[in-house]
Amino acid sequence: MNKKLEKLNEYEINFIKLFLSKLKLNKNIIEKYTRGLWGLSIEGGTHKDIFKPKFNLIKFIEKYNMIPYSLGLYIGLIGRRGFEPSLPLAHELAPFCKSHNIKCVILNIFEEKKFLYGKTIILQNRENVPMGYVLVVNRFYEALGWAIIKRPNNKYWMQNRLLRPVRDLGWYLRKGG
Amino acid sequence: MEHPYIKDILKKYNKNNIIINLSKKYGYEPYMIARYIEILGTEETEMLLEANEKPLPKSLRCNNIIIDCNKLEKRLKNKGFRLKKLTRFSPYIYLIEHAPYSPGATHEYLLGYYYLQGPVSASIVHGMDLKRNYLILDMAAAPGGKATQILQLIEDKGILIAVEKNKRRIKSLRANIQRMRFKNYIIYHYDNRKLPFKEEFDSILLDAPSTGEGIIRKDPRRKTSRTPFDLLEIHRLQVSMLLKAVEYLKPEKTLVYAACSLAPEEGELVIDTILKKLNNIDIIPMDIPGDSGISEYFGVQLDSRISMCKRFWPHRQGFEGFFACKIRKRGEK
Repeated sequence: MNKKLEKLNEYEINFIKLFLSKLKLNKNIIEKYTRGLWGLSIEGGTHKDIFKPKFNLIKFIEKYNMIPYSLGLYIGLIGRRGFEPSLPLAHELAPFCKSHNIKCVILNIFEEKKFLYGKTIILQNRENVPMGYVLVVNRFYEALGWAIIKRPNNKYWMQNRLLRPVRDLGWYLRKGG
Repeated sequence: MEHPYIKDILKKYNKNNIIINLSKKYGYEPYMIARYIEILGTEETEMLLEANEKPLPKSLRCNNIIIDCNKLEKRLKNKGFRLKKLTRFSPYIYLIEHAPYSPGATHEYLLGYYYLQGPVSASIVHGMDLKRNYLILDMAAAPGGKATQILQLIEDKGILIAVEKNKRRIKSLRANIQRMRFKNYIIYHYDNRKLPFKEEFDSILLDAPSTGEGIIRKDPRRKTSRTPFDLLEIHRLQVSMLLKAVEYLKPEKTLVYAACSLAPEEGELVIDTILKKLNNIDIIPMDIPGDSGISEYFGVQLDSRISMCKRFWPHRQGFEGFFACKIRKRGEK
């Protein structure tokens, strides 16, 4: 299988920028995390893994012309479902939940336990939580992962929200290897 | 390549009544008992075998790069864990004296605040020469205990090149490095004997694939899982990897060879083979706990410098069995 490591093109970078802008991150933060991105893919594969390596790592790779398995900060992947952010990226962005008012949800201790098992959570009487893709943190603003928030179908539950995990820290135990 | 006397040594594993009785009593292959008696004598061999019957104590290494270790200690204590620092092995290692549930299932573990690592394993990494601007190679890096510790000790500055050949284990390596939030690394999925590096690295760790005899307490199957023939094959593999490690090392820099085993075939005989083959290396003492390497084995006199290597015994140090040795490559004259 032929592997390729190459700089992301403009289209791919904008894809990720769009995702980050929907989180309500400011321009400087978006620029910081979309600068110097590289993609690792397999010929005929279904997705591209996105990394943000420091310059010294790229210099090493270019010296030996060996394709790595992983390197630097793992940002996420671009696949059939679009951009899927990573857990390391969640850790990077978690501090901005407090300081920059981005699209975050804070879980209490019981919700946190459930979330880390990859379970959908009903956020009761939490109409004010943002919809769509959100960063999930605990009460200490520690990153727990990523989720999508939807309204429930039942009209009697309209004041609640459904939080469906997309990638939670429990993944490290379930699938991480 | 192999030690010139290894085949003779493997033939010396005769069976007498003591060996047969002990091997039946504790469930070991007789050649392992013969080896222990050769090194320790009968009485101390029984102490070793008894120690190996007790479960390996669990321990963790605090990741001080992302959390204050006192805070981590407090958080785990609030969850009912009881911890004890083991500073003679590492300032970051804690013995888990009591765990209300699996230490690998806490939120703190998932947040990358600690790694479940043995004290001996951690102390070996402290024996390496590590600096923040170094280019470091971990030749058999999965699942990532020592690799993440290297990154921690260099404060995630410098570069770690982590190599792993096993497709299944490399996933754990990546997950552990990412879980613990390190970024200055490259993982390569390659055979570590076929890397194109020449005199590139400031520091190298070769924690070689081994019989794993050092963790019989964790996995009792290792009492009977290998024959002397397997031992010979593993020895040859370890020698070939170590020869390559010396090639990859810059002059005047050091590497640490380690094997999670009590077998001299995987420890002292590997080093003795290298010392016979190469004239541009020295053994350097390591400032870590442990006993000296053995200097004679089944009548074969080994290089006297090997006494500067380290051995860890389950019944003496109380944890995993290991062998470690630090080697410096001389510069050109």
